[in-house]
Amino acid sequence: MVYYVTDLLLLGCINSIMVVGLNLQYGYTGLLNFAYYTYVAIGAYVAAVTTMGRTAMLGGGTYILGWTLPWYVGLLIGGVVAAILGAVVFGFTVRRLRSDYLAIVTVSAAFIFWNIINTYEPLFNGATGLYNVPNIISTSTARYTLVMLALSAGILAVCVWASRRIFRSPFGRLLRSMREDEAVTSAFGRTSWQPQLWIFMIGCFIAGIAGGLFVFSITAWSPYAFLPLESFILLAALIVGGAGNYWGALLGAFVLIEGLAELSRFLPSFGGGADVGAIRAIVIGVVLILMLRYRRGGLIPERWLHWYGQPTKQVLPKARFAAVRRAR
Amino acid sequence: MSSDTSDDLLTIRDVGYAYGGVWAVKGCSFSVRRGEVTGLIGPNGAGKSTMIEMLSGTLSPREGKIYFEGADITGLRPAQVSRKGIARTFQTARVLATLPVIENVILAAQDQIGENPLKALFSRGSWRSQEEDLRKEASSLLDWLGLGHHLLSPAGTLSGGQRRLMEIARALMAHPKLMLLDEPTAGVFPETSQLIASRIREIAAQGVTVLLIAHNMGFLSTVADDVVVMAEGRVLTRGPLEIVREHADVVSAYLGTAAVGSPDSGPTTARERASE
Repeated sequence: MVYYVTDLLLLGCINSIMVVGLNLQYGYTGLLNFAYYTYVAIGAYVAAVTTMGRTAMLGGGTYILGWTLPWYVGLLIGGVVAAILGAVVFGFTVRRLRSDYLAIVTVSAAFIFWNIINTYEPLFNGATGLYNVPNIISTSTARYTLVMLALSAGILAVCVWASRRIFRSPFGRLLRSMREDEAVTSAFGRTSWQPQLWIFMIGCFIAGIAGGLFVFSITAWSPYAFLPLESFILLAALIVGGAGNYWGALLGAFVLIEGLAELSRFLPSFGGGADVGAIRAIVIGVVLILMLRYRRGGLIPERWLHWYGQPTKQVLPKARFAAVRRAR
Repeated sequence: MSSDTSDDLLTIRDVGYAYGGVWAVKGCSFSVRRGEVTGLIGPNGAGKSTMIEMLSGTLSPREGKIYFEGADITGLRPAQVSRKGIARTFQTARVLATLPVIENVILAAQDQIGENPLKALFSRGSWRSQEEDLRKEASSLLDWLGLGHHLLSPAGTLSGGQRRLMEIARALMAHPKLMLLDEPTAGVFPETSQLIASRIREIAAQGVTVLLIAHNMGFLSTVADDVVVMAEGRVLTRGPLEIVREHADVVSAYLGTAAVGSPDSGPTTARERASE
């Protein structure tokens, strides 16, 4: 039981880091990036191959690098590589496309990346993936989960701190304004793509770090753990929790991914094991539909008033969207 | 009509723009004198808004040149034009609906240190005092424009007239040399309209040049030093409002007699028709 809880908390922390990173892109800036999980996968892969060496896997495998750097260097490199890849993708897509078109292109990009990863053996060892990624310290399995939990919780705290800083800074205000109306920001001298490139890279960096933590926790990496559909689940978590609000991102990750998904595990089993996954998807889908219908702002909607030194006055999501509709 | 004396802040020379094959503005020349309020008037479809869009960089002129402070700004992008010191409002007020009014306004301030992502994250000390100053400036501007009670309301909840006022505050926040106001009183309650007029006069008194589009002659007579009359893409005439409104071309353009021409004469302008 203790194992189960610590495992759950560990996964919850890692998922929260991902959702916090996605929140920077989607919640703060309005960039709908369906390829987000690709950066998680890239970060995980790079973190693994820069730390596991050549001899970890039976029969060798055909992965690149095979360095034996310390884990924290590998983690960092994973984040940086994800951020660089993010910048490249940004140059081709985000800079030119908006909203619906951007979403379509990032969905395509996610599937292209996934197929390359799954089939191109010389680089990623194909569908076999990686296994026997060494633990970051050698200890018993139970202790190791605790160590990873502490590390992930610490990194999550740093990510939340950073996203709060950004939210309350002029940089965050600029991103919000661009999300609302780029004609206004450009009429006041701001070119859109530079701040958006920054936030996109920061988001991808966080995704890469989360991927590294993930691979160090489960000590294996396979394309099937990084299906493009995972991006949708993260996005659903963000929307349920409250896009734009860092607490909403945390809550969404725990409530939706952990809570609801794990609850489905306790359902009486019927049919094959595949049913659990299907029920998980159905539950997430239904919750998302209900949220979008009845509480668009999410469980904790975006707020900004309280840091102007005034009593917090929450704008109900209904009013918020009515206002948007009027404005258009 | 255009001259290069230092009295002119903005000079427009033979500017033209076409949507598809239709020239909305053609061979337009006029200038805006420093420190004055210049009104741009004309019937619907005269090309006034197209002119404002070209001046602010949203549209790039097909022909002609635009000079601001003697420098050529033709074809610059909106962000570049803005950095030269031109701020604008929009024909239909564009507010960032979900953000509080005060954020809508602070946003326009130029050279914000905290917009650098690294400084935003790692050195709050470098931008905190600037942010404080901007917040004070924005709230006193909004106070001055009668929006003091709405600092924290989401801008989407403002009324039409309040949105116009907020847009003026936002433009002022950029400390512009030239303000382009596209119909600042359209759809506005008469008393708000008076407030806007007196504020525009005060803005001009502080040395900010204003070019505005308006339809209401009463409003224009209180704010504008000079008006430029456009019709069918051309400048008909310019001068003080009392004189201009007696001008035969203007009368015919407004009353529509200019539209009476031979059906096969092709796309001629009001001026050509009037002289026929």
